[in-house]
Parts: sequence; C-alpha cells; structure tokens
Amino acid sequence: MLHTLIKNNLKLMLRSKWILVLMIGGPILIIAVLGSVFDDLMKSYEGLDEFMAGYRLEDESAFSPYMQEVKRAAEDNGVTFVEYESGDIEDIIAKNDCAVFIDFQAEAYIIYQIQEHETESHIAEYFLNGVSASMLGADGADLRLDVVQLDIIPNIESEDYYGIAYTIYFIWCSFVCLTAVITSERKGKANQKYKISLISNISLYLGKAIPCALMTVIGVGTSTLLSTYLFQIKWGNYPMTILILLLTVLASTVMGLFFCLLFRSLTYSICTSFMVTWVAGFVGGSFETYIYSTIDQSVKVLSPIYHATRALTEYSVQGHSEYTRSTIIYLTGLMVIFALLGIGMNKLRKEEEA
Amino acid sequence: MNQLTALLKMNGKLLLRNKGFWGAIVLIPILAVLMLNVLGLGEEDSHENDDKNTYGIVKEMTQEDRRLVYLADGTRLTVKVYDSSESRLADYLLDELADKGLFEVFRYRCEEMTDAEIEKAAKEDADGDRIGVIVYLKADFEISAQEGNAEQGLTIFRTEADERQELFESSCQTVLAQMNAAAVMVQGDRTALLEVLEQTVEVLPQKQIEMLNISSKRVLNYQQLEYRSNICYTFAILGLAYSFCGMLIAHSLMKERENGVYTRVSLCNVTKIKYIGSKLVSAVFAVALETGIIGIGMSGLVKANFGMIYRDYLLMIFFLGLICTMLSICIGILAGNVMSANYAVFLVWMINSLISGLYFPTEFTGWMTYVSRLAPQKWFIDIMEILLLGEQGAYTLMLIVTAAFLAVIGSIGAVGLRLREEV
Repeated sequence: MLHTLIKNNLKLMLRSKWILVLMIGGPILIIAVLGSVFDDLMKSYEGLDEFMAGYRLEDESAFSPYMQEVKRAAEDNGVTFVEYESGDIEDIIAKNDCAVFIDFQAEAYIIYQIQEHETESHIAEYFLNGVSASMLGADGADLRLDVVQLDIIPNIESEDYYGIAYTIYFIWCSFVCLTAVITSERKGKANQKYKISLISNISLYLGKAIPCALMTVIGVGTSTLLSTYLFQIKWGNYPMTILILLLTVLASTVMGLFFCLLFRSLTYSICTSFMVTWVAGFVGGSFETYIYSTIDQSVKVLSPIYHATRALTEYSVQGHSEYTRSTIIYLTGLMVIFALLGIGMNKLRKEEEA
Repeated sequence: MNQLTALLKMNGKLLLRNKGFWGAIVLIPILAVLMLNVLGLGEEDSHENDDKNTYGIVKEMTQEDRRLVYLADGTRLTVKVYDSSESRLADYLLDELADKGLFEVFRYRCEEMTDAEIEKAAKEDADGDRIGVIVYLKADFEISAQEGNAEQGLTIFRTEADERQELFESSCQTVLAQMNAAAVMVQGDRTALLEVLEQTVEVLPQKQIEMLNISSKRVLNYQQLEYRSNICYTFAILGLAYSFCGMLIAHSLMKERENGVYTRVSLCNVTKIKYIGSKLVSAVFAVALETGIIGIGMSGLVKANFGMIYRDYLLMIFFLGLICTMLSICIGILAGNVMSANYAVFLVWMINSLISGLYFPTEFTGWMTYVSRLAPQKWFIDIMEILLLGEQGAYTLMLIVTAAFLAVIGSIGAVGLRLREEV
C-alpha cells in the first residue's frame, strides 16, 4: 500500500512541470546573479598587470635629478613611465592608454586618477611616496616589527559560496512539491477514500514524506550537479557534505509537511512555510553572506540554514568545520520534532474528517 | 455611482472578513517591525567622517564591531587600527600610512587590551570583515617612540597572503625609522619630536590628487549609507506584505469568477469597468490601510530614524506598496489559480528584491543594469537616495515611476483578462 502511495505521489510531483523548473532553474539563476554581484567583493587580491603611467616633468621639480633612476625602479615594479611634454592631460590619457598621469611641478606633484584605474593610481602613488621618502634617507628595513600571523579561515569565492547557500536554501523550499499531491488529494476527495481503506496513519504520512524527499533529491540534485559544472563550485569533504545535505532534505520535508497539515488552507501553509524559510535564510546567510552580515551571532545561531551553510562553506575552504556537530544535532532535532508533530497532526486531521 | 458604492462596500466586507487579509496587513508589519529592531534600526550612530573627501585620511570608527567590508573602497588594502595610545605621535604614524596611497586606514580608539583580547578581535576582523591588516597601537606607543624604539609600541596582525601586506610592513618600517631617527635627534623631547617630524614632511615635494571624469553618481556618506540599507530592508519585508495583500484581492477575483459573481452582477447593469474599478479602488484602500498600520507601528515601536521626513518615507512605502499590490493582482489574473499565483508572486518578489539590491548594494555592468531597472524597487532606491541627499525631484520621480509601472501592469492585466475570457 505504502509502495503504491509513494509511486503515485511521486508521479504527481514529477508531472507538475513548474515545480521541476523552479527547483532546477531557480538555484542556477540566483547563483549566477549573486555570484557576479559579489565577485569583486569576495575575490582575493591577485595583483596587477603591468601598466603605463604618463608624466610631465618641470626642470625645477625635486624629482628631476632622479628621474632616470625613478623610471628604472618603476620598470622593475611593473610600471612604465612615459613622458608627454605638452598637450591636454585628459586627451593624453584617452589616446595613450595611460592608467594614471603625474605632473611633476616645481613645488608639488599632481597625480591624476582615473576612476576605472584606481588601483593602478594607488600603486603609482605608493611608489612615488617611496621615492620621496628615500630622499630623506630613511629606510628602516632592519627594524624588527612585532608581526603575528593570524590563523584565519580561508577566503571563499562568491560563486562557491552562493552555490552552497542556494543548494541549501532551495532544499528548504522543497515543500512546494507537496502542493501537487495535496491539491490533487483535495480535488479527488482522497481523504474520504483513505478513511475507508486499511491504510495506517504512518503509511499515509510516509506516503507523502518519502516522495517529497525523493523529489527534492532529484530536483535540487540535478540543479546542484549542473551548477557545480557550470560555475566550477568547489565542495569539500564529500561524505560530510552529502550527509548534511541529506539531513537538510529530511528536516525540510517533515517541516514543510507539518505546515501543510497544520492549516486547512494550502495558501496559509505555503505562505507560512515561505516566511519561515525566508527569515531563516535571511538570518542564516542565504542572501547576504553570513560572513559579512551584521546580524548578531546569537540570532544567527537560531537559523538551521546558518549552521548548514557555515559547515559546508568551511568544508569547501578548509575541509573541516566546527559547526558540523551543531548542524547535525539541529537538523536531527528538527526532523524528530516535526515528524512527531506531523504524524500527530495527520491523525487529528484524519479523525476530524471521519 | 450607487452601484460602485455597493460594490465597494461588498469588496470591503469581503476583505475585512478575510483572516489572511488581517494577517498580511497586521501580522507581517508587526513581524517587520520586530525584525527591524533585531537589525538595530533606529539606533543612533554618529560618525565623524561625514564630509565626502576622505581620501588619504585616517577614518575614525565609533563602533568597534562595525563592518568595514562595504565601506572600504576595495581598491586599497584595508587596515584596521586598534589605538589605545591616543597620542599625537600615533596620529602622525597613521596619517603617514594613510597618505601612502595604497592603504585605507580605519582607526578605532579603544582601551588597553590584553594580548588574548586583541588577538581574538583581530581574528574576528580578519574572518568576518575582510580586513587586510590589523594593527594594535599599545598604550605605551608614545613612550617607546620617544625612546627611539617606536617599533616596540605596536603589533601587526597579518591575514591572508597578499603582496600588499609586505608593502604595508615596509611602509611601517620606513615611517617608524624616521620617527626613531628624529627621536634620537631631539633626545626624547615629545614636542620637539613632533615638530621635527612635521618639518620633515614639509621639506618633501607636496602631493596632490586629482580625480578625472568623476561620474554623476550620487555619493552618500556613512550615515546615509546606513539609512539606505535599513530602508532597503524595510522595502524587502513590506514588499512581501503588500504582495500578499494583492494576492488576497486576486484570490477574491478568482473565487468570484468561479462562482459566476460577475455574470450575476452584470445583470444589474453594472459595467465591466465599474466591476474592475471597484476591485482596484479597494486595492488602493487596502494599501492605504496597510501603510497607515505600518506607519503607526513603526513610529510607536521602532523609534525609526530613516534620515528623511517620516511622511516622505511613508509616501514611498505607499507607492511601492501600490505597485506591488497591483503586480500581485495582475499575476493572480494571469496565473488563474491560487497556488501557482502564490508561487509566482513570491518568486517575482524574491527576484525583484535581489536584483534591485535591497539586501546589499548591487552594481551591475552590461545588460544586467537594464534587467535590474525592471524591478520597481530599484527605482525606489534611487528616489530614496534623492530624498536622503535632500535633492529636488523625488516626488515627481515617484509619481512618474508609479504611473509607468501601473500602466504597464494594467495593460498586461487587461490583456490577461481578455485572454482568460476567451478560454
């Protein structure tokens, strides 16, 4: 009997095309958007390519006697100094592909920055500062500084982060699969038919929970494989990652199922589930990374999404995480509580309709 | 006219009787208010860096745990300084470092910290805030500097391997060596030491920075950025509330279609325009009611300060709410059944909030810029920035944007209705 229920319900879910589209397409779309938005913010500094700096030199400038040496030293640092004796500075920059322009005047030197090449101009500025400091003769290379190397969690790239975060977030949205089953049950007045059948309360419950979990694995699994291939997402510690993802699938399924049974109206169930998931995601780093988010740590730890996202992110960058235990305990706890509540609710609903 | 009033009365009753409606207009705003409290909206935060030109200047922080990741300009190495020395010599060192050009220096004035405390703080900064280098200036920095051992007065925390860290350390060495040399010269006299150091700086060729092709982008200061992000969060949460509100109206439309209400109503000579008009007017009422509840709730519970006149804020919320509500009604008409409509509304809301940059500032390049303009929230962020900066033209833009979106939504909805009828 259970077998038939699972088969039928799974068929119902697979037939509803937009659920599949949402579960497969949704994560990919969002990973693409967020990955590109946060690319700049999250990527590590990779150094600059060589660039060209235009300059103009007045004879009275303090730099004038050293210019040949300055040019040579700049060359060693990847900056080519090219002299333009006359002409409008904006024109020179536009025509000659200079990343920055320096006007060495008698008393001062002016660095002309261009917005697209800010980093280059900072490098040039730093370099010239060094030149003028060396005029003073101060070097200090032999000073012993008190330097402590911090043991930090390595940086994660934006696409890896959002790849992980949205796999988890969409698993939590898996309750949408249930709508296909419940709508059809209501339409066919299946509950009254179940009542006269010999099917047990537990089988009825599992008949919904198992296909929903299977459907989530199929949908989000396909999407994860695709996004991993498309965005080269790095996952670490495969056995633990898979374990946590599977636990998330189970916890989200039983929670979604509970909300579906709690309210008679499917609209309320769906709205509540969405709100709960959204708040948990908002707090747990599905939108703004948990790394940068200013939400208080004591609020963050309330969200199961926070624990799972953090654990998987840390697996990805360093292979292990202090959040493994809390994630497993939290998810298992949710699973047990909502499964019991759900089964109880299922019984209640069945008796009510009797 | 009587017919319209009767229809409005009927719609009003239907809405008010609906528990979901009360949920959307009362519960969600309350939840929003609670959430804003959690986010710390309404807490006053004063900043000393309110002038816009902070190039090459040490930036002062007033809260230790303030996130710098969004404030730092990203083209320089971020340096966070815990300064418990509070001395002129420390000021000199930091000014010099900030002036190097490659480092953006943020200073937090703190009490003396133990090694363990400072290491913990540094680790948190490095892990959670993308700070490149953390420097701790000890309380006895000044004494060390006067004795000619300035390097003993500070600790540097290195984070990720990045070539600029070496440059930072070598810059530190240079400045500290200058300080030490000067200290030896003046034999530890503090005032004389500062004078000598300042004179050395004056001898050097002066540096000027000129920014070319400054674009017409609006520049907000730290405080305004804070307001901006808080208002964006409220846009996100309230946008959802308004969308659900629109869903309920769309729901009643669908139910009525099922029950043949329109056919019956039309027997009493009610034109279609009046029927739809009554729905739209009740939507406007619902939006106004919801805005009112939000307005009272927020002013009472959050003590919200949005950096603009509260009335302007509510006006923005009202118009944005109107667009969201109408959009949901339109989606409801197109989708035809409650479930699909719910998902579609939620999805549209999620994507809109995301691409318009409600959760974090998004700056797209290329075609995504145009795509993000399709989200009404994006336009309202522009309006909000205008209001924050006290510039002209916010109200006009608000009206134009609302009218434009409503026109588009209205025509799509009308086409949708026609199509549905033909089916």
